[in-house]
Amino acid sequence: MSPLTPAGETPVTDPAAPLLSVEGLAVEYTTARGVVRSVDGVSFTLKTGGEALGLIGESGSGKTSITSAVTRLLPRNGRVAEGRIVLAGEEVSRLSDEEFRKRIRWSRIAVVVQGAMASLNPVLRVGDQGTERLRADGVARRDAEARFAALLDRVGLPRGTEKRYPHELSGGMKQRAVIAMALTHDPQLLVLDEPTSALDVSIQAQIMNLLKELKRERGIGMLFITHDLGLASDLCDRVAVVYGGQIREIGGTDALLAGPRDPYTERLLASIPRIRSAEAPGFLPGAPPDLRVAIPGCRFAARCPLVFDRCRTEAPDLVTVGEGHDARCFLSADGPLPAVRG
Amino acid sequence: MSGFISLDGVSVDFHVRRGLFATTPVHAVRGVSLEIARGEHVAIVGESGSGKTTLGRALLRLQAVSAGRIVVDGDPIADLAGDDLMRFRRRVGAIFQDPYASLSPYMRVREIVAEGLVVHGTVPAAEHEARVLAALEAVRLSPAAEIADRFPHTMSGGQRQRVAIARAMVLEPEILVADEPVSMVDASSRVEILALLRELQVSRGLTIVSVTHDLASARHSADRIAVMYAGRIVEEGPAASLVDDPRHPYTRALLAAVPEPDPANRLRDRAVVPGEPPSPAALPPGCAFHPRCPVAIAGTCEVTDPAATPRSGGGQVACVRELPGA
Repeated sequence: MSPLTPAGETPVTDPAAPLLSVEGLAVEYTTARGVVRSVDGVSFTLKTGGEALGLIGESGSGKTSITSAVTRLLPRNGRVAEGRIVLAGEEVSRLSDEEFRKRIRWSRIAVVVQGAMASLNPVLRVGDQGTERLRADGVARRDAEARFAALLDRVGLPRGTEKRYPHELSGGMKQRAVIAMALTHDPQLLVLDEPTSALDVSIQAQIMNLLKELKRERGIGMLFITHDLGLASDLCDRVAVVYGGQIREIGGTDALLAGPRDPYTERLLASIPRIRSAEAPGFLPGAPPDLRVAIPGCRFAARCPLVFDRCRTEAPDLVTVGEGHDARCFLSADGPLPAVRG
Repeated sequence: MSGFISLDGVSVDFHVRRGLFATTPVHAVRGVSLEIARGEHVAIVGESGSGKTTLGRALLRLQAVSAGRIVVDGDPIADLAGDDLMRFRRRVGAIFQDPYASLSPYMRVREIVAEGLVVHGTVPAAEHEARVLAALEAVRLSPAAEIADRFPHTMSGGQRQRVAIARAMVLEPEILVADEPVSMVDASSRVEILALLRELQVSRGLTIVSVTHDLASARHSADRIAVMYAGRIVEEGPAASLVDDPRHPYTRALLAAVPEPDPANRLRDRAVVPGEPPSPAALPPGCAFHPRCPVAIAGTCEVTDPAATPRSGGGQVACVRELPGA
């Protein structure tokens, strides 16, 4: 399938630049109780050629705010307070909303959100929804339909799915249809926000296999948001662990799973029940911090099993602990973390 | 053999309206037999449409059974009425999946937890406060007196689920039915909630029947696991044995689908079974799993719905490949 350039635009692409570069991102929300900075100083890059980065965090960690800033889908009371977002060399954070919508979203950055059921229009046939944006971009009906039918086939949906209404499809089929819709413009970057969390485990495994295939064969960059480190390790080359609006640790999936250098990552890993191990999972007591209250020291200090005095008064910075591997703990630089019981 | 809780050939049918006069029977639970000992934790594991939640509701007597019977401590629960039914309701507590929906936003934690005491009236009103605080302490919500004054919206998902457990425990039930107790709780809090259930089970001799889609959590929290598919228990046995030595192809498929944090995962595709679970309104003939089964025997599995047979390692399994002589 040939790449399609929507509305006659030529993408501004610097071949030497990373696919995505997020630099010093801060996101703030205006609430009844004042301004909350829910993302604070987040930086990462995504290489070209089909790299997948997992953003891992608990609810309220800021992981969805990060990608909503990238896709310009922040709610009305949210705004990017600081930082730059650069897509293939172009600073897209400087574009107007209008220009971003026309030129970037869907055509170069496509989004698959949690709960596909809710993101489909119940009164439109799947095919009409899938070709809507192509038609709006001036693609002839027949070409748009052929293109979308090929995508439905690619994501594993039977012939004739385009003629059906969303309620006639199962949850897994709907999620496949939503993925096909995200691919209509051959995006460079796919943002996946918990794309399988509403699905049964056997269907979840099918969708993960599909994402892996798409990543391999099309070289699409992926930002994969999840609270499930196990799921992330299935797809992602690198992972960023997000806590209290900051990256706690970022690195290659293998290195991070084998030797976490931040105590939060370590506890998160320990708390996953392993199906093939008799060893009971470890605890991670307490709850994520309330970001409406200023925290003088480390944001994880209140829950950290390795906490010491300095952590309560001084905030640690990210330090490089290996190649492409950064962690945010005063102990990170000293090598493997001391063992934690429980 | 007769357990503390005994399910004997339990079926639940629903009738779904089709058009003006016609109805279609939906076989949500089909001939489930299971014995549960006092003080045991049995996890019922399945995907959506497997009938696991309906079975849990039948056990709570929130859902009438179409065939078979459920006996709790010698009493067939379908026959209970009046005071006996109220006594049954005190003996069997329930917690539900969504701690955001199951707690009234207009009530303080104190009122939420005390509600069962008020409804049943078996404990003098003067003792309610002490019972509420004790229940909150038991689920590790402290300081209990301060927590009791709070509204649910000020609490995290894990804290809310603890309130739901305290509400169930305040009447000191002997049995707790827990429907997906941790699926809406953050990953980091799940272990604590499951450990809390284990502690209540051990310290109070509580019998727990949990319903979940999460085989890994069941492996670490339950004594026994029963795997349901299309309304039937396809395999049941001691948790470790079932996971380490699965006999039914569906159990194997579920195990293969569990995402484990392993760097090697990324380099290989997950072994998955094709297709999706059948609709309970249109079950395939024979073994309901045969259209997806990687080891189905042509000519046999589409006609034979295998009965449960004893399983090596304990429990039962329903697969023609496990029948003697197969």
